[in-house]
Amino acid sequence: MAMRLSVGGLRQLNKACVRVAVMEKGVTAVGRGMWKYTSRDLHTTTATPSYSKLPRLQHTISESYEQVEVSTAEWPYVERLLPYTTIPKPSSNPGEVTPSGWVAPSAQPGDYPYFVPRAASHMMPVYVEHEPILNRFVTRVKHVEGDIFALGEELQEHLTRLFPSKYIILRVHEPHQVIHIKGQFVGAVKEFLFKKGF
Amino acid sequence: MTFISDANAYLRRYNHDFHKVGRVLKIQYLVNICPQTFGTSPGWQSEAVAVPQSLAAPLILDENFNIDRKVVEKREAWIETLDTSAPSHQVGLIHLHPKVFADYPRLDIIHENAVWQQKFRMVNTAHTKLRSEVRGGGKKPHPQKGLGRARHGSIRSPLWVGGGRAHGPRAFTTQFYMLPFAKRIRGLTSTLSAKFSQDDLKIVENLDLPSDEAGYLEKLCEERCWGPSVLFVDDTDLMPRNITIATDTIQHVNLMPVYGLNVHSMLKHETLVLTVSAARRIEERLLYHLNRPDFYKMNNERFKK
Repeated sequence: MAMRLSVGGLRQLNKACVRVAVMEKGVTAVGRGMWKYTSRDLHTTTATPSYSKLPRLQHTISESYEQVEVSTAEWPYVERLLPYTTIPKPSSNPGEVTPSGWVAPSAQPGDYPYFVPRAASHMMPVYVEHEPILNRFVTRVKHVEGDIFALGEELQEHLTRLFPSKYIILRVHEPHQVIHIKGQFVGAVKEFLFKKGF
Repeated sequence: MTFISDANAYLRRYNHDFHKVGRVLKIQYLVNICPQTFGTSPGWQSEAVAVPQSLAAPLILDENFNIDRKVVEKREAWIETLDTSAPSHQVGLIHLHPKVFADYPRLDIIHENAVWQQKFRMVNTAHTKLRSEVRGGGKKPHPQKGLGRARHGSIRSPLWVGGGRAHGPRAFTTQFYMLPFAKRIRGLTSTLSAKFSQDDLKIVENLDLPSDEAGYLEKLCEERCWGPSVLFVDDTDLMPRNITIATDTIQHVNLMPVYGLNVHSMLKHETLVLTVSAARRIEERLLYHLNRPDFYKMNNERFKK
């Protein structure tokens, strides 16, 4: 019998239920699921206003202020729970190697014709990407400032010396400030840049 | 006039490269050495410029940018005033962050942004009828066998002239897509930097005009060589009364709050005029996004309609 009830029939049924509920307990006592199929004539404003319409940071009862003590001394405890807006700069000396293995940069702009600034996470911006269909790995040195071609030539020379059996295919892409190296050379390139102090 | 020649002597004495940083150094000289006689008129233009005597301290808005590890230096721009009755239209100097106003302009990303802004609001209305929607065609045109003709079931088949179209365009297909977050941010920095390097980005102290006439604003833009179309951007969306009335009748001079700034509008207008507060607000927002720890999350999450 219940299976054969149409939506309209269900609505009527719920209407009756709601009417009973209204009569017995009042509107607020009606279960949430029942509102789904109730008709519009039964809709009344809810007892509590919506969240956005509540007065912000104000007590509706002015006497409640008397029982509340306003204190800002604990605000630092709240502050340290809030997420960082930026990743804080580590307070390490230039060139210092931290226990985690992170190396503080020591090179200054102008030391070399090129410059590789750290990423926003203070890590070296050298990444490897895998192109699955071609099964090709490409190492990228990103955000290179200054004379990017000079860095490209030095990297080519360094990697050729490190891996004599391999032919290093390297591309310098100046408009995107990127150097692409075919193959997986993240460790070697990072070590090269760390030695330079970047 | 005397202290301008003094400034030149000062520059020559300390072997400063005049062509590169001359005008700024000259201002610094005027600020540091003879603050009493410093006027707001630019001294580098010619020796004959009469500099009015003013006791007002020059306005130099320097920020302590965290750019120790950046090759590109911070940019310097004049702060102008829209009041033509002022002795000079330059009232101060502002330093701008290189990551926002001197970014490497990625033309491909600017183009992607411009195309995205055109496409995401476009709805294609091209429409063709299917074989079922073309009038007629219910009857089999001729018997299946016996006439020596091809097998046809309807005269509105896509094979027939005047028939329906198979896989044709259907009306109201949306072109909406979302550009990755990083590209939207980079598009803004690239466009701002390109505008700045082309001298199409101006900084003004505020948008207060002494007159509400459209002619005043048009004359001002012509005198400053701001081109036919100008976009004024302020930090607030409650613009001053005079500039609102003056721009109301000029179609190619527009006002915009910072939160509405976009690549398309910047490209569409010849000159972009930012107020000081707008420039600082743009810097603050873009630097926050460029350095935020959850940037990768913003860039990777799918856009939900």
